[in-house]
Amino acid sequence: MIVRNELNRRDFLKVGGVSLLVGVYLSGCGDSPTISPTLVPSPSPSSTATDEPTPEPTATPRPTPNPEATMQAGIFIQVDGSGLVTGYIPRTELGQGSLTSFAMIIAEEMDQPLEQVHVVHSPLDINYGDLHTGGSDSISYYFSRLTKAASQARALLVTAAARIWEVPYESCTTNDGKVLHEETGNWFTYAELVEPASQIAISDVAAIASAKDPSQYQIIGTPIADRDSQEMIDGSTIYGPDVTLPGMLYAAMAFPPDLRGRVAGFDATETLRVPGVQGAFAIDSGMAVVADNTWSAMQGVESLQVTWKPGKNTQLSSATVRDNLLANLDLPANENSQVLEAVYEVPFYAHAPLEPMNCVAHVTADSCEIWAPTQNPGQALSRVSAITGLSMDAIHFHIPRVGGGFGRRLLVDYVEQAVQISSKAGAPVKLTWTREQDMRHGFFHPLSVHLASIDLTQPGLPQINSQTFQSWDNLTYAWRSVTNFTDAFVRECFLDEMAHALGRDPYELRLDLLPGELHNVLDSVVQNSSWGDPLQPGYGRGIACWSTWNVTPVAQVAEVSVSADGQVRVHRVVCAIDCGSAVNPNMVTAQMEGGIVWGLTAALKNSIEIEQGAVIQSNFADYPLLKIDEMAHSLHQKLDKSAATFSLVAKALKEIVTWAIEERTKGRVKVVLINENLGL
Amino acid sequence: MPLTRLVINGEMHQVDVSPEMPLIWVLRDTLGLTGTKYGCGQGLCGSCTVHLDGNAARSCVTPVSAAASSIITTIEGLSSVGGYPLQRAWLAEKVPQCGYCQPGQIMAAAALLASNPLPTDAEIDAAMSGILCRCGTYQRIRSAIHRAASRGGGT
Repeated sequence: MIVRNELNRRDFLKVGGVSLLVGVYLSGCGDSPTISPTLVPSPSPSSTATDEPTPEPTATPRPTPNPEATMQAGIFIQVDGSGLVTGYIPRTELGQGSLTSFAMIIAEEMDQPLEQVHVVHSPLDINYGDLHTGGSDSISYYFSRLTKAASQARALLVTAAARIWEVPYESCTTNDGKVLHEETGNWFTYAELVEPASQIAISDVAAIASAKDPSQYQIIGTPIADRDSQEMIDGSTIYGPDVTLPGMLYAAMAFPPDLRGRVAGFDATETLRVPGVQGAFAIDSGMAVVADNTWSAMQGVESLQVTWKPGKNTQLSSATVRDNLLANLDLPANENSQVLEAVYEVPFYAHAPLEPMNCVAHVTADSCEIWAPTQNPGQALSRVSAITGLSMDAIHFHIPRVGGGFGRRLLVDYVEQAVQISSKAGAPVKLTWTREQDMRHGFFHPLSVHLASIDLTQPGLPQINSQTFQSWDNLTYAWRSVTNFTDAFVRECFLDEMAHALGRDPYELRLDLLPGELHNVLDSVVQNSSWGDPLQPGYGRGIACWSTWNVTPVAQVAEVSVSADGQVRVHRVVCAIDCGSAVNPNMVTAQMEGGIVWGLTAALKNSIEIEQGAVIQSNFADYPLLKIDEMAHSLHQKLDKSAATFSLVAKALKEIVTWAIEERTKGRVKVVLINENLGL
Repeated sequence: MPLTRLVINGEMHQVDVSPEMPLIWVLRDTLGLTGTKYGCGQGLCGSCTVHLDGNAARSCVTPVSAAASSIITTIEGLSSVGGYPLQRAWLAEKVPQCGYCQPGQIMAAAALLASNPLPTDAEIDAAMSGILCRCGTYQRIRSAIHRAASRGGGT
């Protein structure tokens, strides 16, 4: 007899189930069971041999599984004749773990083993939702939709079984990919039921399909690894640059020196002499060379003689942008010694995902097939249709797993280029940008300056005047967390200036000034960071908090040291996030760890400078990323759960590293570059 | 061009390429071993790390002619030369986010553990600081190396 046996659930579920996540330190769970695509324990107890249902004699004939049958539950879920469940969702996997979480939601609601649920990118049809991956809302947007679709899929299968057995729907249960009738001991696998279930209208089950009570969850709320982990670590994951087609040429590009310049003319004589080079030609945004391999294409680019036509940005420099924005701040004379003010500046940043921009395209006279590592296939589709003149029906996209996006891949310039190159070459092509091109020809986080001020005789929230570079030529775009990290940086640094000037504890001042939704996370990091305890000389603690998108409160305490020669080292970050329940707490933790690294990198390591319309930085030598030896050694991630909420956030807030160093140089701060702020 | 002979993951290959071609493009484009990743082309990020005679090397700045005299191991062949326990530790610590840098991280870690089965944090820093991860998985990478080392699984 198979029932859901709560006693057989793994131990950590007993203490760490969805409703009990409060106070669980996830970073201490290193020895908890790991789930990977090849090591997935069945979510239900019935997968062990001793629990296997025993068929009992029954007068009811078993349906014959039809391998060709498929059952649809709306547009999101399909079950095939083998019982395999496929979810169709228009989201790209870039490392944020959404696809793993989608599979967990479907498996949970269908009582289907997780390894028997696949999630693929949906057709590019807006009925599936927005056709881009951005805004951190993949899980919160799709949770209810997938819960509904999966519970309807389950209801279709149960209804089919109940009709065969001629028993009430309510007398049937589901577990481990089977429908069970406890009274008689009868059971059918989902595979057996797909064909009869496919004959039932979804409207017949809409009223009886019901989502699980969260207290019944066995998969949702468990911290599991990304389901592609095994393939990622053995090198078998096929990222965009790993796609290979028969007869494919390898393409490289030359870009104009100034941002968004154009080709005026070229001489490819030397290029065409490079062994392996098959052709060289101009496209809208630069020059393309196609060859038998990537290296020959890149060598061919080196040999090109190109005359460039300057674009509109040749006068652009980040220094001038900075000066102009500072002038707009209208800095007050500040005669009043009771007015505290500070100016903050955030530079341009590049996204710099480790996988450079790339795309594989095969354009023919009447069709186009594209392997695009993109966050925005919807826009890519319309752009490719416009470029090729093909109808959208003739354009087919594949969206591989992507080696990082962070907003950069919401723009589809490299997809347009691959399509133009394939069209001109008359062959399938794989375009790969060099790192230097990726660094210099992207869409940057915009430079901004901020004046914060407060009258210390009337302490309250500071006034903040922000001036942000407005690109007239599409030079800037969303960068991880968009404006959350800049706004948090300014407010939180200035709150520390205020606390210092007022002689207040920075934590207590925040409790006085900031809304109650932030108090939970502030209290948490204070309790878990030994806030207030003495530190060794040269060390200090800073605290910061922010409610990302006004939805997800996060707080952090950083322990920092400044050496005699001014070297800043962040030793430890204690982090609390109040995101409500999480489908996959491991992914929330991972996002917070990554956000801390991004904050440290932006604060300590790099920036993009522009002179005469050209980006100065070119590679990781002059745009360095944080390295493992610069990483804070000890992080504590904590999930808090607000009592009244059940909002789902898997790709949660990921920035907030705007702490202050208490033991900083005394005196008023007038201009603080973010890169230098920690070194004061 | 003379054929270049390469021993990769225990198999002999003969390739007809320019001797200056960096090993990464021979692996990826000529031989289809795409687990080795291009990240910077300048030896700055480590995503292309392979083993030459068991030592970590940046295949993006190694001419194929310089690799011809060495035993070459790529991520595809690591488990057959003892890397499997290290990869299991990577799974246990749930390391990958986007995953793109992880083959290089694992190849560098495997070379470290082969020469130093029980590294300290400082020794991990020294061996791994050239392998960049944009997603920020460093803390878990460190934990995975310690986990593999504590189980004697590095080699």
